[in-house]
Amino acid sequence: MAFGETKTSSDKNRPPQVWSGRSGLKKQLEGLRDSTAIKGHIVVRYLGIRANGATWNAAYMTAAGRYLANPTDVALFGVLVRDTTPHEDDALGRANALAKGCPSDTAIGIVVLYLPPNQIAALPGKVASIEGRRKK
Amino acid sequence: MNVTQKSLDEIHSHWAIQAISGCLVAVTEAARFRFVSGALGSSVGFEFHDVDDELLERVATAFELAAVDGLQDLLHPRTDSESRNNAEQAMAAAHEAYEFRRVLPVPSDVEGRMFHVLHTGRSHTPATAGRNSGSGSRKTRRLWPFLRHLRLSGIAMFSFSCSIAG
Repeated sequence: MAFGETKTSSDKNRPPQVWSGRSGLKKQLEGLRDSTAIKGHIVVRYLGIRANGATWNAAYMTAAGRYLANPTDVALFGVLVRDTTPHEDDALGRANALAKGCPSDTAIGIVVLYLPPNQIAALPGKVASIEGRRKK
Repeated sequence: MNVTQKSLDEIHSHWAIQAISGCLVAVTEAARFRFVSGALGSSVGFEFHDVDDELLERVATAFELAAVDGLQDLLHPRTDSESRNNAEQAMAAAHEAYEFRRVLPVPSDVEGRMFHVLHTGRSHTPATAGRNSGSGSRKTRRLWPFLRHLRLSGIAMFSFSCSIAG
């Protein structure tokens, strides 16, 4: 079972501010790492209802079965979308902090996607444009 | 339609219940002791091997997932035996989920309490929907402790709404 959190940031600071605060990426990933309430109570049941009859039902059953047997047997992903110059300081320090106290069966992956400069603000317009073309 | 011993037995072959089969006996025993202990209060003391709330929650979740699998056939039954079996599975699993969920502590925060009561009530409803023994008054009695919490939470939520409106 894989759980993920995604943030976008054009912040020039390294690491960007979206890592910090009560709803920051760090707190959210720590919540997924340490709390079965967030994973089990909400996400697994939410998917369970939607998996019924879906093409991915068999994959869900395998993943949920492993999760129910051992809630730490999961993969967590933090995805950061940036439109700044790529730099390891955007994630490295935070990733090392998350590794401390991580259960041995849990895998955590931090993925940083770099878009061309100043493209995040233009994303909603581009998505709307693609959707508009699809409808035509 | 009843929750039968056959459907309660068969639910144990479901993939979600198989996943937690290693701890099921201990958690079932702890849930029964918690329920009796809670009903009798401090008048009779019990010594039993309790389990973590997290484990109880996980076992309840497994039964809820088993219930979800047969929910469509419970809501929209067909005449074939597969549909009947799925519906019975949903009822048996919801019944078992309720047995575990009702002994979990009620959260102290308003939002958590509301969610807990509605969630527990939701598990209870399909579990008793077709039971011969599930008369209205009996259902209400079994839900009463949760309804009482809901009422208190409702008052708190109303106060919260008023403070926003004010």
